[in-house]
Amino acid sequence: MMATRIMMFFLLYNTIEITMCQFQVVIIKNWTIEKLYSICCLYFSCILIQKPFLLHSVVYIKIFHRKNVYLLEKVSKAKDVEQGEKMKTSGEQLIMDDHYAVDSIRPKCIELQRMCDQYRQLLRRRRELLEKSHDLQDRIDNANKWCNKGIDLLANQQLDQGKSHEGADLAVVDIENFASVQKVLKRIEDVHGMCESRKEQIRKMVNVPKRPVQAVKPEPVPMSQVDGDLKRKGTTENTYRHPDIYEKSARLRTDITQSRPYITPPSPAGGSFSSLSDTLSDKARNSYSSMSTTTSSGSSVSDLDTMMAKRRHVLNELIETEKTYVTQLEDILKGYCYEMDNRHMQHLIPEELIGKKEILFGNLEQIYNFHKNIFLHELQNCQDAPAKVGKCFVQRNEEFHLYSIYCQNKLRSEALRNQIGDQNPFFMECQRRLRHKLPLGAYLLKPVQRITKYQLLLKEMLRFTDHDRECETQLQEALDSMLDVVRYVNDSMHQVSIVGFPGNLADHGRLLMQGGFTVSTEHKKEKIKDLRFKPMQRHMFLYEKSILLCKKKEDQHQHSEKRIYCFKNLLNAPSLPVKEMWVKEIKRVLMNQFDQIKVTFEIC
Amino acid sequence: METRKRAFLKVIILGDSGVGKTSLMNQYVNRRFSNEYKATIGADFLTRDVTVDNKLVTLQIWDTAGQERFASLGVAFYRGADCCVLVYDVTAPNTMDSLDAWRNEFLEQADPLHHDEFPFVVIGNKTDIQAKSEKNSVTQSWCSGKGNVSYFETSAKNGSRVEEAFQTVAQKALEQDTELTKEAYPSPIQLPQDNNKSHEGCSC
Repeated sequence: MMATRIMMFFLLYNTIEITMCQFQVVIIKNWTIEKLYSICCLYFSCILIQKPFLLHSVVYIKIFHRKNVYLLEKVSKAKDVEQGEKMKTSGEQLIMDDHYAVDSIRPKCIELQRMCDQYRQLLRRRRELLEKSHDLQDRIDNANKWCNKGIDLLANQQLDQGKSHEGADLAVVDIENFASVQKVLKRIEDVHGMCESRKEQIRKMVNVPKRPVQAVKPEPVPMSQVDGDLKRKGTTENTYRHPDIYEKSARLRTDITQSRPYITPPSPAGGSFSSLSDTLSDKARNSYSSMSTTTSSGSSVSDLDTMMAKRRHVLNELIETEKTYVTQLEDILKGYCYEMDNRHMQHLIPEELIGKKEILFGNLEQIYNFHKNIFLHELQNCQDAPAKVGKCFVQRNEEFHLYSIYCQNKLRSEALRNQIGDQNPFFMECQRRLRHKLPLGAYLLKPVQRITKYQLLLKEMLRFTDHDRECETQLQEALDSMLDVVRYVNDSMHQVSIVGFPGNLADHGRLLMQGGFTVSTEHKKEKIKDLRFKPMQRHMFLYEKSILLCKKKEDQHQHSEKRIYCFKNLLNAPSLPVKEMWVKEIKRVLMNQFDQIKVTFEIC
Repeated sequence: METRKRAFLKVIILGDSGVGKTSLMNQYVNRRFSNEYKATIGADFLTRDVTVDNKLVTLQIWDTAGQERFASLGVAFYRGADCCVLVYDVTAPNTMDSLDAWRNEFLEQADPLHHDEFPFVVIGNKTDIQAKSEKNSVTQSWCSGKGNVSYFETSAKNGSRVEEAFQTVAQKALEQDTELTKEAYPSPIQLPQDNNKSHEGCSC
């Protein structure tokens, strides 16, 4: 069917222009009044359906601005109305000619007339809106330019000018000339504050229940009132009358999903704001009101919806940053690591680097595979079920220990990279191809940074999960496990610096804790006669099966100063009960000594 | 020896959790602060080009949020930094008390050439909540006692003084970078010139 085809076409492209072209073609091909009428109806109803879309576009001015201007021109010609009129006239002509289907044509002509009128009215209204949006856009642009100017002025003012009197005076005059930044900022803040307090007031008014049973759906803040408030109180220059708009439209540009009719500026043409909100479709209104809870200020944190929305937001951040992370790892691997095997790059690779891929990148590929093939998918599966996120982390706890291997290798990798330098032709070429602003070193730190961020995100999610006990427990468990992972990674980085240990550290189980302690031992009499008891700094490593005592040393050879732990003692108990007893006692003694030292330090 | 690309200046932001490190960085680089939908972690590092002394430099700012309690992870980050920003929260006086610890931690891990001359910028954040820090004078004297330390009170929320603070950061970082380059390539021996008066000896 032609009608469905056009409908599909329309749905596909969702633009007036295309519908119109199609429409015109149709007119030429099917010049029977029946078809013409049905297509015409379809076309008009398309226009009517399109209305909310267009209204949104008024809000998304930035994106649709150019299209809007184009439409503005098109609309002003009102070609399509002419077509409708033409059709109606030809219909009337057919009636005059006493067409066989005169009974069916007449009501259709009347209907066409009605639609033409309605359409014309809508066009007029839309034109007004578009003009307003244009105006708003201009103002925002102006405000933006002004802000940029201010920032540039401040950035370009040389601070050393301030050292001399004339320089300082000049700088002050410059700033004052620039419409007094501070004052305007203050005003913006004032107006912002006024808006906030008014919103608060309105919210309170709305919250007073009119009936014993209150509607669950929260009402959007009536923005027109805020707008009125602004109009009355806004005393700053035209361009800065709505700092709020600037801020919010900036957010709009980044957060498209949030459809919301923000305040329109007072139009010189006298168009009313209400026309915008009146014509909002129900669908748009619903989506708006469901979002409005999330945009309200922190005063209603207890609100369940707000909490859920915020939690969803953190979850989104977790997933989005995970995606970015995977891409970044891929960049490093494809852009640097795999390039080392590229035949055409061989001549660029510095000699020191040949065969040292493992040292430079460590187990980055393993980490990448885990995140790309497993973890990202598991997180994405939780997109709609934040309650399941905790489980992802707990289940994958073991895999995260890949990071301790990576971090332990990081020191070797760093030393190698420092030896080669970031400026070698191979790295430079890879960096250029990747269009990375920063050298490889910055990107090799990504895993180290990422592993510390999960706990932050989990903490944040936990903050917004008061209402769901089960979820809370799981998130807490996830948080604890991720903190353990980071602690382990952190501790194990010390372990790599242990030197002189006869044997394999892996035989002593997992490293549980490490830290500096003060150990006091008796010195050999012949060496130091008068100081018989001397406290020493020892770095202790507590393993599952033993304790290691090491001496911390700064090893400064060449340019890479390195901290090392010289192995001194290994404590191993003959049996478990003995161990437990000793551990208890040692703990007591050490704690005592530690406390004593602390006291002496405090006295000092 | 590591050859440094002169145009990049590395800046590390340190401070207790919740003082607004990420927000400061976002405000400075993106000129944005969001109350409702504040990103928890933001970017690992951000870059921004600034003009200092008619020179275009790129500040590379590293956020350390999340690493607060894991000292040895910092090692990799701190190396090669040209300036360190220490942040505290003016509404939470105890965060100011940690400045000393953060400074020491940084110096120990980054191990710059001259500990006493390494540039720091201290920022008291959240002046939108409390206009003036209670610890203003304490912080001032702390800063003056530590050598090359500047002090700013900012608000990452409304952007107040953020720009100035980071402009100083850039300035100091560039000085530090120039200093390092000078030491790495010792300047040729200066032959005494006749018109240069010797400052040795008392002239009074």
